[in-house]
Amino acid sequence: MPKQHHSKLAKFSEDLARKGDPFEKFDAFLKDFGVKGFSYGFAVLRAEMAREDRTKSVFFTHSFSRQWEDEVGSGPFLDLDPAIDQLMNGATIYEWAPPDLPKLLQDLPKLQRRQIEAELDMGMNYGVTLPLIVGKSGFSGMGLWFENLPSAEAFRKEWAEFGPTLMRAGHLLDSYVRKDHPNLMVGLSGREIDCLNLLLGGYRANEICFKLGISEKTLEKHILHARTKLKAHTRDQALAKAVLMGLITL
Amino acid sequence: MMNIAPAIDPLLSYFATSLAQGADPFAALEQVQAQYGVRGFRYGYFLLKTDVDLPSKTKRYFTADNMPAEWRNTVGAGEFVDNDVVIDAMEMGAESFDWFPPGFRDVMRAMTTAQRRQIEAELDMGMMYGMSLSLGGAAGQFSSMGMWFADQSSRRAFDRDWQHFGPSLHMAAQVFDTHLRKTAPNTLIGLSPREVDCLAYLVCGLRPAQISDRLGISEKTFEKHIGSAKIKLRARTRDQAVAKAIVAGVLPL
Repeated sequence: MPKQHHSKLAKFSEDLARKGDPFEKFDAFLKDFGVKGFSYGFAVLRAEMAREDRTKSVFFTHSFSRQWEDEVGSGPFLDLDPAIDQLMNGATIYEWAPPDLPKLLQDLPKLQRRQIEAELDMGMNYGVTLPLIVGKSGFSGMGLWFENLPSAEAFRKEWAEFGPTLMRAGHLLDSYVRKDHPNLMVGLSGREIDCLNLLLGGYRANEICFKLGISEKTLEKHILHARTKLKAHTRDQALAKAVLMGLITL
Repeated sequence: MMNIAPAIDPLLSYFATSLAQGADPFAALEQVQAQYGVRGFRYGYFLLKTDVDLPSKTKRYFTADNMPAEWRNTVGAGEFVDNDVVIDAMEMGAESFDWFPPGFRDVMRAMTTAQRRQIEAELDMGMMYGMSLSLGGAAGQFSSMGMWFADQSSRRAFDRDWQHFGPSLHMAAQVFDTHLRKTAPNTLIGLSPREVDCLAYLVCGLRPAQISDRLGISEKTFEKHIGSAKIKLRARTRDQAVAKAIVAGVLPL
């Protein structure tokens, strides 16, 4: 890795430690490497990635265009993304537009093909989707969109030079978000965390209400909000995810 | 920390190998400890910090021992964890705890009656020389290993033995703990495959009706599995059973 990459990584790492939005810092860091936009997302349970409606379970953010958000990001884009299937099957990199793209597109189901074509229309020709963690503790990954480049070969050359550095930065961001600030993308309130903590402690609904001085109706409201924020189907799953994410004190 | 154990202790590597090969961990531990003069052990852990704060925390404790029936029927049958000064000391950060150091009678005067009685009952059974070790982990979540030493001629003989064998015994305890909590976490919990299925599906976000459907069982049978899983996990509620199963690492996630 070139020396100036090291110092840029070190600066990014120091930046992260300061106050402020980590995604803005990540975006600024990427700009130096010709990356126009990124996406980042994670699932808490591996099983959630295999399911049909994985888009609903994944915590996701991006710095792509408004147009992308409206046309692709508002739909079930992760269910339609062939990159995710490949990463879950162990691929270590997914290139958005390899030289044999026209043939690959032909073989894809219609909805998947349309999504990729829409992205190509937005100029998202060159980029990669990468796994950060694929394991027992769920899944996280990122997508990187590169400035307009003349050809797939030019992109590959660029990637060979910048790839390792960008991967490292991705891991730094991932560990900042998932390990150090697990509530960043969830946004549970203090009260919601209190309720989950007491559920973890084995207290029953009436005991929790008494402890917190709230009505059962309010408790239900807190739990429901926590469920929504945690992208959980049930209360059991909400608590399970909170435990796995380290949002509540064991 | 005792990290001055002999570089390669053949007994320890034999112990680790037998565990890896699926030997009964309790029999293997007993065997290796006996080589160092240990007469009986009591091992245990909590899964959650909050379990420690609840009344009758003995009910939340996962434990195994090879103490004599006399101990099991008396001290072991009661709320022995609640009355155990060793666990309290470890909660406060003690890494090792000598069962009956010189001058302990004075210390005992400051204890509660129940605590003092428990120690006296154990002394009556000849449990004078022993050592308990905290095996890492946060407050409330550490494992502990208490070891009772065969009769010693004197305090000095015990101190000398501990100095020689302590590091090896500490390592054996660590190996045992790692095996029980990481490699074979269901050993002391004993969930059935069906109970594991039910809990794992709850984590996946399925509702009881959907789970019963998938497993081809009635909702009543599902409730029965959850009920027995709750008891085995020493949980008060279904929510807590799910959380504890995750923390214990017994679910295929």
